[in-house]
Amino acid sequence: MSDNDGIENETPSAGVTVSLSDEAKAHLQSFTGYDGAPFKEMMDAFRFAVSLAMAHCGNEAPELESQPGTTLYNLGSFDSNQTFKEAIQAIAPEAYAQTSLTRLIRSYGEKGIGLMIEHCEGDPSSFALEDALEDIHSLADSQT
Amino acid sequence: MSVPLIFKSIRINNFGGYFGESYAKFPTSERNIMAIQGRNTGGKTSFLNALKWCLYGEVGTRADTEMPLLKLFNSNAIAEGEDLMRVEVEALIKGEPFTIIREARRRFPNSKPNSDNDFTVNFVVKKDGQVLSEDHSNKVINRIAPKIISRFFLFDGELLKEYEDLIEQRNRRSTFPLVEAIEDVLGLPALKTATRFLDKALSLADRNVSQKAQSNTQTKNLSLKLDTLNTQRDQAVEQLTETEAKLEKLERGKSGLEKEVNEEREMDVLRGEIKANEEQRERLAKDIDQYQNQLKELSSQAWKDGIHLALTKRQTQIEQDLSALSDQHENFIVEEHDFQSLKHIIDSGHCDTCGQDVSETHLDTIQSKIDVMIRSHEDRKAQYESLQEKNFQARKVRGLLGQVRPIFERYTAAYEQVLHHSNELTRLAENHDRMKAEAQNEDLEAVRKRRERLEQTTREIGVLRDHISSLTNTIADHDRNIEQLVADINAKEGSKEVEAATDVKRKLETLKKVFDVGREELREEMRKHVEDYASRSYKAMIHEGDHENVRISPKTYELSIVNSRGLPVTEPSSGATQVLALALIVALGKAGRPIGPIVMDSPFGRLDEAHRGRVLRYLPRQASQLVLLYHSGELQPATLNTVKNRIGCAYTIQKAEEGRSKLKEGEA
Repeated sequence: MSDNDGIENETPSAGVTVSLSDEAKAHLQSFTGYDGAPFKEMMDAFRFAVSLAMAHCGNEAPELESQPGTTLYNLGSFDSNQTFKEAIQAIAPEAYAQTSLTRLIRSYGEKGIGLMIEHCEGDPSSFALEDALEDIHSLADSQT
Repeated sequence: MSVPLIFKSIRINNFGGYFGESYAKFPTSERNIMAIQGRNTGGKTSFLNALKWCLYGEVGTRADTEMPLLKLFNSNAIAEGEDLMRVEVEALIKGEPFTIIREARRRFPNSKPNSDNDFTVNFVVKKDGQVLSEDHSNKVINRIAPKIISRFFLFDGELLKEYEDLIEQRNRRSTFPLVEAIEDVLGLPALKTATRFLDKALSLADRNVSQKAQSNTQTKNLSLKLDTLNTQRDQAVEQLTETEAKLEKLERGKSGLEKEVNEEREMDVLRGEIKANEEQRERLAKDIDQYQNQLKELSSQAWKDGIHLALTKRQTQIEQDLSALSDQHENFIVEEHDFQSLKHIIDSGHCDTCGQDVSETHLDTIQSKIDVMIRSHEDRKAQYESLQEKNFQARKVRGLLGQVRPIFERYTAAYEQVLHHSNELTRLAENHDRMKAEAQNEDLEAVRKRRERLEQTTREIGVLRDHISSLTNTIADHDRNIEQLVADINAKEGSKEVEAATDVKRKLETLKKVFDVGREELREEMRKHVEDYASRSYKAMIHEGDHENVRISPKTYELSIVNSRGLPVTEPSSGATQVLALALIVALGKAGRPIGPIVMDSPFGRLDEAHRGRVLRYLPRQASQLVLLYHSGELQPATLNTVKNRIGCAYTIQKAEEGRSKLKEGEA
């Protein structure tokens, strides 16, 4: 089975690679790679998407539909100092205990990319990171 | 009392940069600012010129000449065969509705016009829909917005610059424009005419004395001499009048030439400014690159903010759990203590508290109680472990929070720097384009000729002044001789007719002296009036140093700013100079007519933001309406925002291409 048509729990490399649906990957690509793009690297955009979903969903990890995914990153390069791993473990301990980390990262990532697309009303070229950050902070303020 | 003049709307067809029809409504409420934003060469000056042309039928050039119709008519409209250029202004004059229309129609629409003769101009003023006669129309406009002082309420940066030059020591030229402006405001040209009439009457009175004296043989010879002297004096006065008129014309010409020559001298300065502008833009571009790189770097850490928020939420939740668990734990500690005490009684069969052995019956009761407590003991143990776990989690979350420092503040700061620098870059780029365009207009041959003409004019003025001085002396000599002859005639014959004629002459002389003194006093009074207005306006708008008043010195009309100790401020900043020029123009405008609209084209050139804000807050209070034509580099949105409650309407000049501008309601 190739990396391109599997999902984490079913692929031989499950647990070490993070996959993403083709649609989410295409969206992710549109946040990088041009002059004035909000992110330098696709991985930066993906990390932001994961963290955005973590901020929104907290310990209730988003549901992940069983749809084919494309391998995107090796876990080692995505989370080299294991901050995401430890943060997910701290934020969603139950989900962490039940689901593989790579699958959780994918579920948060897919959700986060959806939130980013929603934020820019479907037009990634108009995505403003400063506004997205401000939203995160206003979310924090509204909870204090 | 109704305001003398309020513009209601303007409709511009094929005028200046405006192709086709553009329409705008002026604000008519207390929110009396009309903000019109446009790029350089976009059509701001065309808007101002459209108003000038509609009201007065002419638009002046920088060299004080009239702009031909051919240049006013939109070039694209001519190229596309349009035959009508038209400006229609609806206004309330003392509360009554007027419509002012001026239009120029091509006589031969099928051939390209070459001169003003190829156009027919119509001027119509309607009051309540009724067309007024041309004479009446001009009178209405001149009474409400006199053409002679129109440049003080329909003005542009050029006029400001002209007045700034009067203040700046390095550019000091003759104060002729200011003297002229004050005299215009005062209506002095009319007084000059009145003086000439008095001179003429005086001459006629002299002749009358001579005529009466001729009827007597004793005084006939004296009267003939008097006649000759009167004729010579009249000729000298006539020459003086002509020479003064020539001098005035030359002075005006010289002032225009000085303005142009001075601009040429400023061309070197301009080139320096262009270079400095380019260097500054390079530095800004580098800074922007640097901040953008910083943003890119920070964007790779943006994930920290999301995680930080998620962890903060989690921390709050854990703290709440911990608080609940700790409360329960207090009770469990007490229960655990009881459990251990009862267990000890069972094991030893002795109660340490009362120091007695416990009976079997009591031991059974205690054992059943212990059985119950053993079950909850497991719960307590689990609860304790849970508490430990929560504490562990809390420590973990705290540790993670320490690792993921949010970047929001750093990102926002860098982003604001990019915005600020980009705005500054745009402003500088617009200035650069404007300066480049100015520099490109330089024609070296024309420069040389203008300088020659200025030298020639200065020489001619010198000659004329000498001539005027000589004529004035000659007239004074004639006056003395005439005076002597009249006295001689009166001494020789006591004719009542001669006495009566002499009496008339004396009365006219007295009248003229009184008139001359009155004229000087009036001029002085108006100088003080303008000085007072200018001082008040200046103080309301200036935002720096110890600047107390504006002074226009008597006689020489030199302008200066004085501090609170009454000493002149020797080197005012360019901002202060521009504020003073603005104050002076507003003062001249206010001194010369009742309060009405002010229309300003790009007036904020060298002012800093603080001054722009102050000027912007002050001027709407000095006029029935303030029409502000500005480009984006001139006013930051934040500055404009300080008067948002006074902005009645906003328009943008949209320029599709050269000579195809249109007014569009709303901000850019």
